[in-house]
Amino acid sequence: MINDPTTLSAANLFTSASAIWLAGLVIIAVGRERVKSNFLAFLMLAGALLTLGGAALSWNQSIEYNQLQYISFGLVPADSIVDSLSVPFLGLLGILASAAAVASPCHVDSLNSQGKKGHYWKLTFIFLIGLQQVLLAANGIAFLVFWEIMSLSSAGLVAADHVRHRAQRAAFAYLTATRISTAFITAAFLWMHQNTGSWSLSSWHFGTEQSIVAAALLLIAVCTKAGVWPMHVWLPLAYPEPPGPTSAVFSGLVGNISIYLLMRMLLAGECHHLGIAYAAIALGTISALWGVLFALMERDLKKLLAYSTVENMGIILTAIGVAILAHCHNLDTIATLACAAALFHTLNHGLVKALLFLGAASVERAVHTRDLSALGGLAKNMPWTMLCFFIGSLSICAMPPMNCFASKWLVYQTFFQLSFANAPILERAMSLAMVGILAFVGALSLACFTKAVGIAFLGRPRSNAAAKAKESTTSGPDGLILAQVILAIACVMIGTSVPIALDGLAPALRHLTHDQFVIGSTLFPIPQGQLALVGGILVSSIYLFVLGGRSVDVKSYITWDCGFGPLSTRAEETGSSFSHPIGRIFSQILQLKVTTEISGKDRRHFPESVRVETFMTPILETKLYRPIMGLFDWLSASLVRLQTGSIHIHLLYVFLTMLLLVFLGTNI
Amino acid sequence: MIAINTEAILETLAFVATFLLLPPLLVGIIRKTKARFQNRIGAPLLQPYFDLMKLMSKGETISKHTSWIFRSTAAINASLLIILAFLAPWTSLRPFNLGADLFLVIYLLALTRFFTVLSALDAGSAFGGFGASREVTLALLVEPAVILCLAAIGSVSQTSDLGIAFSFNNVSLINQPGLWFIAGCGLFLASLVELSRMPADDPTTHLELTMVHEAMILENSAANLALVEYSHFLKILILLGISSQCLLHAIPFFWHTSQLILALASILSIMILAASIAIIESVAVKLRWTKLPEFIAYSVAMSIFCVFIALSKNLN
Repeated sequence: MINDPTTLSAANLFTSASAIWLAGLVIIAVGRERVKSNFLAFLMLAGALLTLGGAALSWNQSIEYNQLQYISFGLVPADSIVDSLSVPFLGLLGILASAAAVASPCHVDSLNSQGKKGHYWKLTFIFLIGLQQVLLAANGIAFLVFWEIMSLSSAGLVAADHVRHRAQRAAFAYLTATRISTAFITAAFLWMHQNTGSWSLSSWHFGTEQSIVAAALLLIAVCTKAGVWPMHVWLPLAYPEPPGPTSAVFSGLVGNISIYLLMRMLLAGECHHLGIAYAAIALGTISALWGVLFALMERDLKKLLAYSTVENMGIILTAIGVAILAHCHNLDTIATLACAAALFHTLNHGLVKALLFLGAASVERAVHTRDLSALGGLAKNMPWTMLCFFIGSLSICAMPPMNCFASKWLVYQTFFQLSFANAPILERAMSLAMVGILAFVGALSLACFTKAVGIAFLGRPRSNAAAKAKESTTSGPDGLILAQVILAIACVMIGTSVPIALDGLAPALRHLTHDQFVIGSTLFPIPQGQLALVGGILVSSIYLFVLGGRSVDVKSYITWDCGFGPLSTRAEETGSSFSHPIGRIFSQILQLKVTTEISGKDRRHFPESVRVETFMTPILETKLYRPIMGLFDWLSASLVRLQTGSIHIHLLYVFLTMLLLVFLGTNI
Repeated sequence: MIAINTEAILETLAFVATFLLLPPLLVGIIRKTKARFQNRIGAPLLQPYFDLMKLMSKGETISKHTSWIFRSTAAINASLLIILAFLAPWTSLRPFNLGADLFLVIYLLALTRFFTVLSALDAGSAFGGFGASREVTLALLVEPAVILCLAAIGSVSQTSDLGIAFSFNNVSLINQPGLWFIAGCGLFLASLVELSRMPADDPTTHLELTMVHEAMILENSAANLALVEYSHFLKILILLGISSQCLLHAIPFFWHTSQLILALASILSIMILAASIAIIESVAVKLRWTKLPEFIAYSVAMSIFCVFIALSKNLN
């Protein structure tokens, strides 16, 4: 259904992006070590920019096309569709893939084995093709095929460092999660196909009574893949593992794609089930609290970021829940606000999380550790990484005037307006309680990210490696730094021009809310850009005229040591001690225990050795998942007994199976 | 040609002069009252101004371990609080309505905390670190109470714009003395914690076991310290101003009186609240760190009462 030149060229752009990535895959497979990493990175960038261009061309019109006519997946041809909902996600893919492409050469050149280089390029290209085609898929079968390609290639990326036990475990956990989610999605798709007789995603409507099963299955699948409580346990294992540059695409899109699926199915498909709405809000709330609490206690920088993803996925899920709730009560303004909040926060979070993961990758490259207790004082040696990570942290804590403040504000506003809307009293009470909970989560995430920035980049170095850290491999900023700068600029730009960004999302919002009169720019009335400008002028004038800028003679001296002489860096606050007071308050959930051991003759006044240890046992893993895994172990151990190795017994099994099949065939 | 309105200009001048000059006086009032309670004459009422001026003329010393965060924090926090003084409804007299969104106000306050905490961690001293750690813990407990008190008021007036909710011609809030009073008390208790006053923190001590705010600004000196102190004074003005506005709204008399009396009452009530802080600090003791969540629970409980009142008001 190609009707005019722009749509045709947009479709062509997407196809050529995929073709270029496919070409990259072939070239690396054939050419091996003869291929320069710069050339492959160029191919990756070209594909990313073409995707971005295609998204720009088709941002307010929907195109259906089939450029892969010769391919069909048995039941249906591999149709593609670009509609207003997939455009924002394609745009995000374009930006993140560009950043990853810019960062790739310096990462690949630092790898020592040819095998690892090939592994990186091949899987990255497959991953990108999978991501793009999932977003373009017009029918269930195509969606599932590309979803699988995306999932499996990303599992390969998680296992990039597969000689390490940690990476093996992560890949295994991630594979389990993707298997479960694919199984549930397949079940949901089959159910909808059975109900409607069509495979086309846009023809499925979730307003009917029968569709509630499919909606519930989808919710479970999406919660598993996005990492919502209690299915989030794979996330802190898997997110830190993909190699530096791809971790941007991985962290920014893997969770978001499943949110995209949920939006396309339940919001655009007009789901009207209160139960689903309540489940989404409840799971989202627990997830937000749980995620941010564990993020705060984490001492591994990348795991901290991964847990913060759990938090944000929770917040997005609550917004989606409210959107469904508002649809049920016909509260149109709230539904629009909720959809805008969910969509905008998904995109912003993807952008910011990619930026932060690149920052963490840069820290890991320079110091060779992600343990906060070995970092510190990196601001001096790594100014660019520090600045970008700082901007990312400001944004993810939803500080004005950043982009996430706008989306978090929309979430707040959704709940706030629900509190005086025409809804049952319990829902209104819930909505005001949610405002309080969101404030609580916000304060926790502030604690979490001041810890991340403050402990990793400020203060004095806590290890030799941190003191000698070097920001880039070349004399100037290299690709990894440049990629961070690109994403940081994108965050600031969106933050200071929110009305323009929301106008850009308006077609997608119209698609989600089925309301043709949604105007994006009026949703967010706070003039953030102007405030930032006024703030900037005020700050610089106070800095220059009160503090005196650089002209004033500022004496540089040691940090105050109470006159005891130079303090060792061990006297500094560590990541764990920073979050310890909060950990104490929530020690029941965190299972936090502290043991103190003091030994010596007169141990009260003259201790010879003091030993303090803190323990945290992840409660969900030990109390819920370990028994389940134990059950599976026991089951498989029991099933082994069937496998006696005797041919006679196996023939008996074959005979019994045949009997069963004949019985089933004749009776059903 | 813009018509010049003398009255508006005078109002603006009065407003700017108030928020620039009043904050140190409030601290002077607190210190003087405390001194009188301890049978001392105490420093002059205007001593905070002299202190600030003296600090401005001193030479600055900073730790060699600090980064750009340290010095910019002073400037950024001062500017943020000046912006907040224009936005937040801390007095009835506001010459321009800039749309004081509830969540924007809360998050701007959080932004100042973000910078304060980072600058405390910047020098790498043990003091800054634990001060920062305590600050984020307290903030975490107080934040829900503050936002719920304000959201309850906003919910009754059906807008998140505090400028509209706090104006004295908003009919939806006219007969709600209970809501206003409880919100005012809840906010006042929360401000005690946010402003590092007595039950949570002792502002006059430098004992590392007890301090929160002072531990964080131990490395600042001269103009930098003056800015940090001034920002803190401004924060006292804004937070006490918001709670005093709530309390004023609870008294029916102020709904039907003239602008001038209202403006004077706003200023006076802030001073009374400042004096009552001093009284609390004289008769109460600093709580043990582990007992603080119980104290903050009073504030949270009041905010939950506000929510109940708001929900019952909007019953349909």
